[in-house]
Amino acid sequence: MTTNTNELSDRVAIITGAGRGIGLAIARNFCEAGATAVIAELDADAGEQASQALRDEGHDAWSQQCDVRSRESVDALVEAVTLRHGRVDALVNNAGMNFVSPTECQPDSDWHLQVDVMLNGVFICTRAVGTVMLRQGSGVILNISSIAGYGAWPLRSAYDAAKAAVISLTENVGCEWARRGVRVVSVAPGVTRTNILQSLVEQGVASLDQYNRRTPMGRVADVEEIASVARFLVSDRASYITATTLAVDGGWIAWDGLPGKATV
Amino acid sequence: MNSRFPGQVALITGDCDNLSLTLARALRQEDAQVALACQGGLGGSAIEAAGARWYAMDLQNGKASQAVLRSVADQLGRIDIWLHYASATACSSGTAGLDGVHNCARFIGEIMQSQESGRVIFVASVAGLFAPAGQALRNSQEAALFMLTKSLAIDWAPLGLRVNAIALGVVQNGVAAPDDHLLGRIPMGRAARPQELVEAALFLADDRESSFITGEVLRVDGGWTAYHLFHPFDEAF
Repeated sequence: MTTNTNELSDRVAIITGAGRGIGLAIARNFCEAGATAVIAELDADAGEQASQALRDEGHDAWSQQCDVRSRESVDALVEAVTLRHGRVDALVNNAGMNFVSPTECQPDSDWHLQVDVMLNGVFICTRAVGTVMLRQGSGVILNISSIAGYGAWPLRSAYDAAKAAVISLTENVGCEWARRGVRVVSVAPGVTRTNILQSLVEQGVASLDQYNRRTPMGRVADVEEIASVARFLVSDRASYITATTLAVDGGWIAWDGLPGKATV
Repeated sequence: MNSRFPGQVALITGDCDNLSLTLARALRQEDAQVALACQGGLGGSAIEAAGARWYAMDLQNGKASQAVLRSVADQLGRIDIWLHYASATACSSGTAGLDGVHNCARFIGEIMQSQESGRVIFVASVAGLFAPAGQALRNSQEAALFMLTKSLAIDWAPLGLRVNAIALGVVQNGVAAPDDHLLGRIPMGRAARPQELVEAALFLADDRESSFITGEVLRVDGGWTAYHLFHPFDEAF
């Protein structure tokens, strides 16, 4: 495509939780556009395997163990990246998990873990990397939120609340930094074929058939379909897009969910 | 580098102004055949110089519009991308303008359904999301385009068609310099360059990039609609 296939060359991107799933797909997509991918992963083995796989494909990638809940851990990551590359051009706040339980039974630990990783972790990473980007006068922060951030998905109160907060954080920080060269954007994936989904299906708390029926396009997303949008948003092609969230959901949130007959 | 839309046909309706011409040129550069169906404010020669075919069309005349669209489909063989772009002037026509777009949608939708593929992009204004004072009719018209986007997306998703919108903030149109009063409201502090609209439109038209996006409104607004507080923007700090 005329879209420059090297449009991210010489860019350094940190992707959290990129040992697998959407994060790894984004890392691969960015590498294919010429970027260096830094895989920040709590599971050090998964991070190293992912970066090795990318290197085996001829890409420039490395990993560092990182706990996004910890300021010290994130600061160490940012220091390592800036020492090695001198800059950070993109941060993808992707790390996440999804526990399913009735709110009245939800242990404190489950609530805190999800909010710590998917909201506090986004803030900690955004502040640390954003400071570097503001100094550079350039950079893009991409938050992975969710369609669950737009409304109620019962039994997922912590997940929904954290994702809604990330949509708000995107708008807030996007506006704060709009005149300082740093864009902050978000992608809200619909149901996506990942190992988290697979695990929920195996637990019997998620049904692929049900998700397929609920999605106007009749199917769930592949991780590459989220990654291609991530690439657009961090590229210079999206230079006037900031402080906003783009749903990548096959039409899920546009629809009220009631079956009907097309009458256009 | 390969082009993005070889062999595809793109139809642009709505305004005949510099932005529609820029969109036409960009689609042409990506090897799409481009038809621009509008009333012809720029003149046919300017449109043809951009590599597009011009079809004189008055969107508010339903029967005549259908005849024009039929000519486009007959002469170019298919319609893969339909991009409707209406400026503030066109939107002042109110419900008649909406009827015109809906009328086109029915016809173009049938063609795309027979192809089992197609992408529709409505370029409307952020005025359909937040209400600028003193232009109730225009704001309502813009909002209607966003709801039309969602409604068509839902109806057509099972048929393989995608429908999305762009909520455009202030854009340089090559005619008048953007008003400082408006620029002061925008977090980024500047108007969009035409190319920034073009890139968003091409992204939504490209199945290799946005294949799972439908029924969505992409805000290309420099942060306008995220910001709710004071005017000018500086006063927020």
